[in-house]
Formats: sequence, structure tokens, C-alpha cells
Amino acid sequence: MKNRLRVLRAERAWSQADLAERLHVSRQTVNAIETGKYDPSLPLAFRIARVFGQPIESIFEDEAKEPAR
Amino acid sequence: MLNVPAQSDRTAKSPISPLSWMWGGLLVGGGLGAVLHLTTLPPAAFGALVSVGAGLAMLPCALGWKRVDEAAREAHKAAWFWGGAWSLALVAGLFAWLARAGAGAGFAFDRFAIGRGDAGLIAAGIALCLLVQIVGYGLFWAGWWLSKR
Repeated sequence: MKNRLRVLRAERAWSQADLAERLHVSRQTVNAIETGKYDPSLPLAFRIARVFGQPIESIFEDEAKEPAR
Repeated sequence: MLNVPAQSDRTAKSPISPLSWMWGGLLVGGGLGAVLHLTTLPPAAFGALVSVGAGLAMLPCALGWKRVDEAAREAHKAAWFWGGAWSLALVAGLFAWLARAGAGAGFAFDRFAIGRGDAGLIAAGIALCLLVQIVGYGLFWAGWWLSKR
């Protein structure tokens, strides 16, 4: 699953550690999510959305989504 | 927009790290095991107390598990499932060889027994399974995190 975590974090000049602290997860977890190697659970995805003040679908993109006809 | 708590109560900040809780569990279990090892209890009572001690050692581990974040939990779960299963699959070959070779394997099985007689050999087999599962778990756990870097 693609996500805009790195961009959103950069816009706020937060380090991975800063974001990890806000989300109450480890920096390694933030890195794994950012690199698309780990998909967060729904509760964590909601927490991420809340931290950035954006809807989940604007942060995460389902790569399996069918293209628009 | 999103009615969700600002933070997870399970992973809330704690002055004691999850790893410290888990090391605490090891210390509790190891300490109780060492004390029990020095006693001369009847075998059944010894076994029962070891089970109780192992259960007590799980309590700090459970507290640590509640405080660890979801990716770390996923690493532990995947490591126990895949690392444990793969390591046992590899040991199956050793088991099959020993079962087929029997006394002709070229060495005395008694050397590996934990205790006397057949029971000691069975205990050694159980210990071997535990050991390889822990090794498999550790390797898979490290690999899981390395693959997510």
C-alpha cells in the first residue's frame, strides 16, 4: 500500500522520531510504514490521519484499486 | 472528522520499556528455575512448580506485550509462526535419521539425555525442540526487522 507519510512529515519538518512519538510507536515502525514495507492496522491508520488532520484515503492509497473507467 | 483517541492506551508511554518487562519475565523464570533446580522435590511436584514458575514468568511478559507497538508485535508473531515452524521442519530430518538409524547411528544417545533412562532421553528431545524453535524465532525476528528497514 502506497502512502504519503514521508511527504506529510516533511511538510511539518518532523523527523521519524517526532512522528513516532506523536503516534506512540517506535521509529522503526514509522520507517517501515513510510517505505511501504509494513501496512498499519486500521486503528493506527486512524491515529495517523488524526495526527495529520487528513482523511485516511488522502494518506493511504490502495494499489489494488481498479482504475476508473 | 475522525472520532478516534489521540493515542493508544496499550502503547501509552511508560517509564518501563516493553523489553525491560520481557527481560523481567526471563529473570523471574530463570530465578525460579535456579531455585527449584537446587531443591530435592519429588519429580511430579518439581514439574508442577516449574509449570507454575513458567506461568509467573509470563506475567511480566504479558505487561511488556501490552506496551509494545503493533509492528513489533507482528514481528514476534511472524517469528514464532514461521521461525518456529521452519526450525521444527528442519529438525524433522534429524528426528527421521535418528529414528531410522537407532543404535546404529554411531553414538550413544545416552550422552544427550537430561536425566536417567528413557525419560531423560524424552526430556532431551523436548529440550531440543524448544532450543531450535527459539533459535528459529530469533533468526526470523531479526530477518523480519532487517527486511523492513
